[in-house]
Amino acid sequence: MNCLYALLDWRLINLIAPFIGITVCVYLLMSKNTCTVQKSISTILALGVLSWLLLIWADWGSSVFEPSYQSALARIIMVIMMLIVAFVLRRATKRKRSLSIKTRILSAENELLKEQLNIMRGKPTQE
Amino acid sequence: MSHKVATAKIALANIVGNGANVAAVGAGGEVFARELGQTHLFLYLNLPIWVFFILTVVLAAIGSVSSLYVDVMKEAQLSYSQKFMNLVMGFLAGLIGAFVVLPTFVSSPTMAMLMFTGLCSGFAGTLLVFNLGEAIRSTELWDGLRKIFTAFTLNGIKTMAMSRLKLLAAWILKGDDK
Repeated sequence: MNCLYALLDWRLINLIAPFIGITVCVYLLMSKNTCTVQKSISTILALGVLSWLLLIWADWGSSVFEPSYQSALARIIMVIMMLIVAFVLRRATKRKRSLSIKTRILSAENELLKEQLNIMRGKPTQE
Repeated sequence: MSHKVATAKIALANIVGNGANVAAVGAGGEVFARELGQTHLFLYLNLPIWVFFILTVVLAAIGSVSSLYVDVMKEAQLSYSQKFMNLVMGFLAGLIGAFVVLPTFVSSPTMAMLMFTGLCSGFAGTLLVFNLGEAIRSTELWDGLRKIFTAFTLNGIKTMAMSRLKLLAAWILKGDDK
């Protein structure tokens, strides 16, 4: 129970949140299940890595920054935003892949139908 | 005879000055080497600072190389020379982030922070340099920006100026202040 209380301490959450954010950004950039080919998305994620890095600098190196409930809450909200972005990207990637597979199947069927139509009309096939 | 003595004196002073300079440079180098050799506690080990600096450089290189596995770099179909240039630029971005930007913002950074900064800025720097280069080279983007600029700025200013001029003309000619 004490361990749980220690984990739920807002100062600890404040310290951990940037590392979670960086992990999510790097996972999204490196994962095969999320498509980040668009330059805008990869730029946003790279800038996200840098912004979380600046928060780590503030936590561990700044002499003036004092964490508070508000800053911890803001970081939690930012982590939730990153998770939502990850969810949306994964879903869009999955949908895009299924659509590309369907398109490939449809184009193959189209070619087959064209061949059958040519055979029915008595035209020579390409083969 | 006197001018020969003066020349000898000047030559001697120059030689002594040069020797002093060499000694000062040598002493500076020795001080620098001693400063690099001072130890820092990390993971219960007293390691010299130059080890951390070399690790930061290596981590910046690892960060820039690992960015090759990102989709945008994989799909770009770059030649080997272009890839190498991107990696070098990202590596330099990592070094600048760790050794220039970090000490500017943080007065006494820890060694862990230095190494982590080298890794992250090497990784993100490569991507940002690549995307920035693509954006600068993209004619489509510049055309779009030009269109936005003309549509939202120039036309907007022109419309507003014309409407104000019409109001002014109406006020002068008719005395209408609407």
